[in-house]
Amino acid sequence: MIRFDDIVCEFLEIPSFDFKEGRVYKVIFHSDIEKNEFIDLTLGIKRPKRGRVVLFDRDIFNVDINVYYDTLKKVGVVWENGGVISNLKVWENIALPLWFHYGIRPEKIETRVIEFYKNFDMDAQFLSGYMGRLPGTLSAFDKRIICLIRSILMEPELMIYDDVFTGLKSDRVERIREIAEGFHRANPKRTSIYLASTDESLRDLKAEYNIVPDEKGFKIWRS
Amino acid sequence: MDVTYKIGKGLIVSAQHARGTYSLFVDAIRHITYLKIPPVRSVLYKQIYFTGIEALNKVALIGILIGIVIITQVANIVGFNPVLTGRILVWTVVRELGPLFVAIIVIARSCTAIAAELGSMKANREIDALITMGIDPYAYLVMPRIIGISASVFMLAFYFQISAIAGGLIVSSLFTDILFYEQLKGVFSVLSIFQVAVSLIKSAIFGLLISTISCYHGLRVKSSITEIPQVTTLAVMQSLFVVLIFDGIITVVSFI
Repeated sequence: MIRFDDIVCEFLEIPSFDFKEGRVYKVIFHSDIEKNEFIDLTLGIKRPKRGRVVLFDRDIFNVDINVYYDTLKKVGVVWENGGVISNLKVWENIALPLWFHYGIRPEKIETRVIEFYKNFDMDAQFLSGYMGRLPGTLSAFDKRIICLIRSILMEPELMIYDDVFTGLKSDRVERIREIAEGFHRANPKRTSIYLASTDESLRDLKAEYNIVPDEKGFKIWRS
Repeated sequence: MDVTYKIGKGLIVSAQHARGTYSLFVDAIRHITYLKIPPVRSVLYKQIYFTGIEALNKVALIGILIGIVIITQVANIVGFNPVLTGRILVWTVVRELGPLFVAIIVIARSCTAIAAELGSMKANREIDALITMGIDPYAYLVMPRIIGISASVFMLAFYFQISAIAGGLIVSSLFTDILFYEQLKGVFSVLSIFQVAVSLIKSAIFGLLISTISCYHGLRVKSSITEIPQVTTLAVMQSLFVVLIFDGIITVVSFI
């Protein structure tokens, strides 16, 4: 699903590594800078000094621009800061990728979104006001939920969770984890990668592979 | 040595900005077919609303005031002569002041807003978030802003010219015995389609320049919020400078 070939970048060096289909990975970096560089490399945002990144069998830094964006449709990222677009309202943020790529109007996904928010004790009445808000006033948790729903609605084959549990109360961590695990199980080919810059936030997460970058590349052990 | 070095460095940086702005413009225009996608059209409509519709009353007011000032000054120098005042109104407002004033208003309102907005989106990694959704920022953020601002400047310039001419003529007809209609005839006797066309083309070009420069500088922000005021100032200064240069070029090419 993702293959790193002999990567040398500004902060990370990854001699050779494959993230395989259908697995759950937990990667603990030494710092936010390393973690962000990993995301940028994976998604073709930051070109490495050396080596190549293959995402869904495509060399992500050497593909036609349309193929590149098409490939990224198969990837969902739940950002630590929420990754919401500040000048779009909550419902526009949730609906944007579906509306942009498939022309599905926001009204069409309303029921699914309301159903999803029930996991977080938000009913339809509360949501009617909430959906029209701009993200500037929302908490990190609210923004991560927007990002999570937005990604899930696109049914990606690869989900990247960028430090999603950091700074959250344990009940909220538990709910997000349940949703993420349920979503992972729904498609046997789906790969989930949890990233963090400290061990603490992912301690209770069950992953098949645990990874820590070291001087030889990635140190890996199975749970 | 030091002065030569500074001038040389300045020229190289300006050339890099010019090249970057041009390639951004080409990239944005390549995405024009994305206007058929509803969320992209929504960005375009919002831009037209913020730049065009929300500025209408300010542009009209400034236009009327400019028209009054011109008519008063002309009457002070040569007395009230409908043909002459009409000619001077057309020369100043339609040929020059209309496009130029509207460009300055749009630079003050929208150029700063766009550079700051895109800069903050870049610093907060919102643009990376768009990319990871498979959405090309050139298609979704840049192209609709360029088209929206250009269309707005084009329409505002036309509106400014009508306001200025109407304002000037109404005031002059209030203080003289010459009827508004007579004065309007004076304006139309000297107004040609060529002059109007040049003025509107000039406005559209100003719109393209302002919007592309604003987007270019906004997207130059790397990761720090402190870069935003710097790029915003640079966007305003370069937009003004480039608009004045193009104004001179178009005027010389069209009317000499």
